[in-house]
Amino acid sequence: MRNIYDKILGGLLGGATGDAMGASTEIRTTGMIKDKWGHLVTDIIQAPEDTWAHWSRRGQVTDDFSVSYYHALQIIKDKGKITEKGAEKAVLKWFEDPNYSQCAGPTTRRSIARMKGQKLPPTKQDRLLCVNSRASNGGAMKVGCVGLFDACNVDKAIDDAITMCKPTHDNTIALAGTCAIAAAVAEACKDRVSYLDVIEAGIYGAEQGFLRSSKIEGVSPVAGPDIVRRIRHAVDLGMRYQGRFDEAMDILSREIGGGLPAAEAVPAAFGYIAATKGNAMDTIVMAVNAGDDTDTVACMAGYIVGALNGYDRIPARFLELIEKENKFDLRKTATKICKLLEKEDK
Amino acid sequence: MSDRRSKILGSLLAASVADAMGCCTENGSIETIKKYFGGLCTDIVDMPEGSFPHGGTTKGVVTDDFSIAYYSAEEFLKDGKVSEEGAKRAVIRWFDEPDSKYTRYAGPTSRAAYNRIKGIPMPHTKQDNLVTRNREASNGAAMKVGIIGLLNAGNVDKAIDEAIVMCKVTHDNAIALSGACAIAAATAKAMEERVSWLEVVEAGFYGAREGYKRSVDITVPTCGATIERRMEYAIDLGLQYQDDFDEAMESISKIIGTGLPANEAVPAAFGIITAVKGDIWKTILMAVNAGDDTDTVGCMAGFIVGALEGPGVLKDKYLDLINRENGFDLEKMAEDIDTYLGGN
Repeated sequence: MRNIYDKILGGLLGGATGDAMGASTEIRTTGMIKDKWGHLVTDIIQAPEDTWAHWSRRGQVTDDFSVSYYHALQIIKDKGKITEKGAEKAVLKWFEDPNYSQCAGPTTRRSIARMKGQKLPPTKQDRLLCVNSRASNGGAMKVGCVGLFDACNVDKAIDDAITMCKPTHDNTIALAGTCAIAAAVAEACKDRVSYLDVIEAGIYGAEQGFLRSSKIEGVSPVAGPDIVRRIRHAVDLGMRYQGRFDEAMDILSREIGGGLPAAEAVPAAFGYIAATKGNAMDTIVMAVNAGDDTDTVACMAGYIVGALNGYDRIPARFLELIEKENKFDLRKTATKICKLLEKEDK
Repeated sequence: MSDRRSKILGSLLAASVADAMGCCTENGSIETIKKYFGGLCTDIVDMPEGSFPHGGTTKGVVTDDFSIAYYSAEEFLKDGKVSEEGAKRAVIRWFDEPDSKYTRYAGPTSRAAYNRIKGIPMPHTKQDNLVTRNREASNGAAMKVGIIGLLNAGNVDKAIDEAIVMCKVTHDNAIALSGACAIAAATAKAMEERVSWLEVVEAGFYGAREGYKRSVDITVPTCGATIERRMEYAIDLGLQYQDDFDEAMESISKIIGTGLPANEAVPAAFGIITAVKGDIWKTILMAVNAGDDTDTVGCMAGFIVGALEGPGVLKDKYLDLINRENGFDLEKMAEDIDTYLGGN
């Protein structure tokens, strides 16, 4: 039986480790990763000059985990309540750090300008019902923390995920992906839970996230692949190649992809979990080396398998390095989240 | 009209009709299209200004997809060969045409290529120092490449090589080019006499594989799902739902996707052709109603199934409209391509 603190810290550390490790491999293919380093990347290493995170020091996280962490701090300040207003505050505070703001994607950047009350330059897309390029993974990348605050409560995690991510990603596909991750993390916090339960919760989250968000005013429909069906397909592939790490990674990256669209990155995360039966470091390493948006996929998957397995399945030196290089206090944050959860129980 | 010329006209016509019809539905999801049209969109119609991107355009005008293919064909026919120079001239002429109906549709990758060809300095962006250009793996190469299949009727291998020559000018990466080669190869195969839709799909599959192999070492590296793998799955879905139009459309759209990335749009086109066994009208209908980048998927699939079947009913219904609204002469172009191909 695992202590809830182990799981909460595991979630935070898993997300941060995936992001810090993926910072070096992002935008490369598996082949290019092997060519550059002579092997798969299994450690947190310095990001090269020719990638997005060229600015970072070894151990620094990118936009994915950092924005998630700022949300967590804000939620703690709001005594566990997840609100749109809190979410906006967290994003604005996060954007003040130039390291992070330079990695902000186009969807997040636009929303920030809107929150600040800035007039957005008119674009050709303004009058469109569906802006399909906004169905990105930017909601899902930061939502893992919601699953921790709503530990064991999958339905609440889904609602809170929509609340937190709607200010930046107000479309049904991005939100379906977001809810899949939040739901899976919440489920992973349960005692004696298996990776299969977690995958099922993720599929339920995607289904419900799509349904619930499409009924909310201000959430736009978008045209694009269905997250539920893509997760099922990715999990199917992962299951078929269990025990064959390289083949599983190869088939998932060639068929599902691990790119910017929510409909690639989120299903890929569940595919890796299925392929490695939820093993913490195997999942993270697969996500880091499968190519494309590796830091995002590894951050999302890391949250899930970190919570599932507990923090001690991730090397302790990662925890120290990440806390030091980012000035984060993951342990204290985990303690505070646990206190809020205890209060709820009473 | 000879069989060959009829097949060429069928290909040009099906591609342009699908493009013009897809212009009405582009960007919507299956659900929003259904809601707007009260069912399937089954004709080229006037679209009012509104929530669809091309509202306000005149009915029958094609978008960037077919128009850039047409301009490219004109250059190649004038030269009597396919070349990089011809492809570049087509891009320049297409962009520079005064009062162009089409340049408003230009995608970011094609526009960047235009600047590059013209030597216009580009603003420095954060992406310039990146080792891969994953967002350039778009369907903008495949959308215009059907024409190469016609100019290489029956010669799949040469179609693959010339697809790379033509499209590398704008889309310098192996995923976009793999997609382009799939469409060119399938169109070339469809030009053969007594060929079945299955052989055409197989040729497309061969084109995807060969196109990747032949271009990967001469292009900027890209990372993304492969055309080949996704095609396998799309064709699988097409076969599985061959007698169920709605379910086929739904699953291809919702699992494969029909968007801007080459690794969605190209596999989707083959899934659709498989689902309707190459039927020309059903292919157009499914592509136009499957959502997202409907005009592009329709144009690519149209090139293929039009060559397979010839113009059929499309000729009486749409030839005049397309020619008139775009200042095209598709019959003359079919004749010129037929002459280009030589001896019969």
